[in-house]
Amino acid sequence: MKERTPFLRKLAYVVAMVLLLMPVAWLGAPAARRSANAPGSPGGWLARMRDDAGLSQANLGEIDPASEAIKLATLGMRGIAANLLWEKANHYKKTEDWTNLSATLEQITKLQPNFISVWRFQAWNLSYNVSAEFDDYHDRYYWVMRGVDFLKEGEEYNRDDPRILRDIGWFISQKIGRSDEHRYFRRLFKQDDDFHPPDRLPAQRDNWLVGKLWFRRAERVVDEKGTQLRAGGRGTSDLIFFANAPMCQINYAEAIEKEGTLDDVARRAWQRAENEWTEDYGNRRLKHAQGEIVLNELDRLQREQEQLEQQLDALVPGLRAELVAEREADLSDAQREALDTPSDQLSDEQYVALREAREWLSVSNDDLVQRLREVAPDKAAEAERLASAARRNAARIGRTRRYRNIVNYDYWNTRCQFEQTPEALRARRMIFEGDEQWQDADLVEAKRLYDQGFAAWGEVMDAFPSVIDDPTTGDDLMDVIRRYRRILDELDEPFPKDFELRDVIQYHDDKGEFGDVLNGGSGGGRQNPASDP
Amino acid sequence: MVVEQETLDFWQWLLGESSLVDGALIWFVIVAVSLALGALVVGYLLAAVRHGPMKAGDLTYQAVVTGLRDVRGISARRVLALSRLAVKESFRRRVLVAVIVYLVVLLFAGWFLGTDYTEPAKLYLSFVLTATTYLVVMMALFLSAFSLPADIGNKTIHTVVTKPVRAAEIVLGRILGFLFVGTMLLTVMGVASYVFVVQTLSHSHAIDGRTLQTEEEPDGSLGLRGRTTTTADHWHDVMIGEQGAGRALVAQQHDHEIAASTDGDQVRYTVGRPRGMLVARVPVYGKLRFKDRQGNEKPKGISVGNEWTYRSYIEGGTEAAAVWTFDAIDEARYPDGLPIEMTLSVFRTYKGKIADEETGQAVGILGGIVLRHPDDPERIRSATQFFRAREYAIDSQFIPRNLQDPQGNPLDLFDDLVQDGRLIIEIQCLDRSQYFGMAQADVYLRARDGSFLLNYVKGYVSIWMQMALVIGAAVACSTFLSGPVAMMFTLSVIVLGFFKEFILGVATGTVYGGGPIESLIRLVSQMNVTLQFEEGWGTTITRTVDAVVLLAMRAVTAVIPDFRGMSSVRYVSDGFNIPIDLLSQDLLATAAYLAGMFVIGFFFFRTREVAR
Repeated sequence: MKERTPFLRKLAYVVAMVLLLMPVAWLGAPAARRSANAPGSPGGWLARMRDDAGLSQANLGEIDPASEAIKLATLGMRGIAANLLWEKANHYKKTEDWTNLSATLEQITKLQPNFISVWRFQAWNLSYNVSAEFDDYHDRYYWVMRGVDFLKEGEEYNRDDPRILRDIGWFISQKIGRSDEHRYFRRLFKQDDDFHPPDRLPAQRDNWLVGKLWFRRAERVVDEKGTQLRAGGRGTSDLIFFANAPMCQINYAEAIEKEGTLDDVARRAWQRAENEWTEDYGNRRLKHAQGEIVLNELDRLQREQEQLEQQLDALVPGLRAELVAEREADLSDAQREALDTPSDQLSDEQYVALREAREWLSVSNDDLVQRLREVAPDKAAEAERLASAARRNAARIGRTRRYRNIVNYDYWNTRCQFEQTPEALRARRMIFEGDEQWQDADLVEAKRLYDQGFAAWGEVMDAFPSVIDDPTTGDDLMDVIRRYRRILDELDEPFPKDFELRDVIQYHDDKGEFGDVLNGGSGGGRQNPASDP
Repeated sequence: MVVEQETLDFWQWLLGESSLVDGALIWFVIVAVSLALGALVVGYLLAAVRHGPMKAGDLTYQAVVTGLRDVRGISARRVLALSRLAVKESFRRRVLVAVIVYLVVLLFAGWFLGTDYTEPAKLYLSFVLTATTYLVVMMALFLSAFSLPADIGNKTIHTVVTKPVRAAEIVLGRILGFLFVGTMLLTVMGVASYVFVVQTLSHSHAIDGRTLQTEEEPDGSLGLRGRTTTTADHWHDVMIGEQGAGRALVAQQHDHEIAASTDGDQVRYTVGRPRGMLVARVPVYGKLRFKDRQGNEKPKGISVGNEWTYRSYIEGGTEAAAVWTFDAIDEARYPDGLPIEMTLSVFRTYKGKIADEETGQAVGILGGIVLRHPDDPERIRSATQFFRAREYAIDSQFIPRNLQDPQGNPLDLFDDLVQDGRLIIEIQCLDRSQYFGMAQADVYLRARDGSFLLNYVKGYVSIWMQMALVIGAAVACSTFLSGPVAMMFTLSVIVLGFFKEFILGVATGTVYGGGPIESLIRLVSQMNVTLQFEEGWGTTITRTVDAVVLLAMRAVTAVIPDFRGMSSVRYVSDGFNIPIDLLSQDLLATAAYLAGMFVIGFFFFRTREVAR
């Protein structure tokens, strides 16, 4: 018996191991993919949990044997290896060893393929920092696209990550379209046969349009999979994220016009921009911390607010006016005087008094409800309900207004509208052709075209007064007006006293170069009603 | 190529530029004598503790005398026999596995490397040489560190020491045996890696006929322009002359020759093998000094704010210039003129014109090259030869023999400008408010190209030296330490050797963060490296301890071999010939280290009972 004890003990161990392995096998059974020949299986409990949470490597993206091999080769010291590689990458960047930098970044991503920040950080490094080190714009373009390719590789490992998709869209649209070398970059991008798929038409090879495609892909991922854009207070807001695609369309329309496409192509581009901005983006439900916002809802919310206030006033008609009258009686003499003084004659102290007076005289819904409780207590509950609804609505209006301001919603809306008009297209075409004549030193022809262009702009501003104080259009026109003035000087002609765009000069002559024109002349006289004090 | 430290002439390095004190020889002698004396003193003190001062003196004397007798009596035959034994033991311990591992690494290297880099040759060469270094060093470490301790542990050493062999012969035999094994392995790896690199980088293209367009060349002839097909992740622009011959222009560091042949009515173009990818340039460097914007001589140019201060800058549109003085310029070497290669850095303070509006060609910053007589540089000079700077590319310029001075009078390069083989070449930036950056090695004369294969072999020689040092250190350690401890000790020596420059920086205070204790405190408290500690007794203690430790670190760096400095991977991967002076210096240093390690190993081995 004693001789057999060790054997029996070993046998017992083996049996225990086998028994314990059974639940482990059941828990950890891998999933098998369905194929034409095999039904597949969802796998054990852990595999199903991984699949539900989208955490398995196959869910995340491509499984790369090289990546798996290098992770195994670090023998559990992946973190140390990654740290060392990051240090090396910094060293190579410092010593301008671009080849080894690229290779090191590849190794880092093999070790950490699912760490999104690696892809985003290093892609930015390549496209923005490394590219800027080069003098030749061809080399800069090469490194910008290297960063884009790097991100695309990251997207294969991390399928449907909206951040990477968004970054690809951003690099292609903004880096190529907004950098100092954007003219050359846009041309190289169009000619880049290695980047574009064979079936992409030449007209579609615009960086803004291609960037928009990537932004749309990111949007689809968020919409279809419900992926969160923000986590732990960090990330992109819906407002900015969903604005990217329509802004690309707007920037595309702007860019082709700058390059001289001022025909139906440009008009359709602006038309599409308007649709995407107001219909798609304006009607989208945008999440924020307190709920959801729809940018196009502002008018409806304001109408609702009016109705609520009317209903509140109707509970006790004239009560609000009574409160105003009571408050008027409490105004100080200085405040009364400020109220009676025309606005252009107010001193600084009177401005303060005027503001105080207006604030005092402004009877809020809460003030009204408080008074209503005293004079008509039976209607207090209803008043409270209406005031509460009005308060909530007002908060919503405030948020909607702020969001619209953040993305300059109204400005771009107006811009898309007026840019489509034949007058605007004609104006831009005349100015563009005038610039060409200016480049060719044909001053007479340039002046003629500029005159026509200014007249067309005048028509645009008559129809859309808000364009007058638009800084973008204004600055562009001021450059043209300055050239126009130089032409007139060369031709020994005076600046016209009835210059069509006098009001543009009024709003945008920051340097005071046209003081003589403004003082001596007349004409124009348009104003943007929205910008009245 | 970045050359942070100039390679001195071998004899200058050995015997000093101006006096013996500057040379390496005197320092070898000082270190050797210091170590020997130190070892004698330590040995005496240890013996004195055990046996008393008188006996200790006697023992020390005996140790030295018998040791020297042993070394004098070394027999080459016995050493050879012991070397053969070491070789057999190595094969028995399956050292060939290292070759198999290496071949597997090469086989799967394609998973991790690609050809879509701007310099694929650099990447591949760097990879194979670095992989070889690490593998061979690790192999040498494990082989050498465990050999003697294993023999002593297994008692198989008795089969050797019972024979009439000296301790010195045992140690030397091991070292030489392992060196032989390592050399054989390196040879196999070298051949395999060379074939791998050459085969991987070898490629060709076809001409993409759809892209060919007729264009008028500057000389009025009609040529064809187009591009090649994409192979190995790149393509080339193509220029074909009227005669049919042409060139696929440089991309990814190389170009191809294009040959035309007729096939009936059709002309067929054949794109040749890549040229310029696997090269070994033989640069002739000059001595660089600078002139500031007023034309006054300065040792360095100005900084434009780069963290890496390897290059300094000269301002454009001023008197500022970078001035190189070259030696050994003669007609035999440069019969037609001077081929200059430059790697200038460009810094723009404003964008300026970056492209030609019509052609779209990039427009670099304008620079000028002026040649001056070394003895009368102001009066005797050539007219300015203009160029457009190209960044991060080797820009080749040719200075013809027949030149003109600024007034248009003819000048001969060798008769009028070169004096006793010396010549001044001055480079200026001509665009106002733009800057050129350069270091001494950024401009050189490309005399000729060496053999890439020979250069590759020299690269392997430098790996061999690193391996030899590891073998020497491991065998020496294994004479008095157990196998694992000897391995760890040698590994520490290797790591210290690879980070010698950094350790020296810490020891001399050029690296931020202070000594070990101070940096530990900074790490734990997450304190910025530039912040000063508050004065107090704690800071005083920290600084005192650190001062002692840093002194020890300085002493260690003086003794530890510079593994990273010995590596010539950069030369081979960047396409530059490894100077024979550098190789000779490293070989002599390796021999000196090996000799020292042999002596240390021998004396320690003699203290072992088995060796008595």
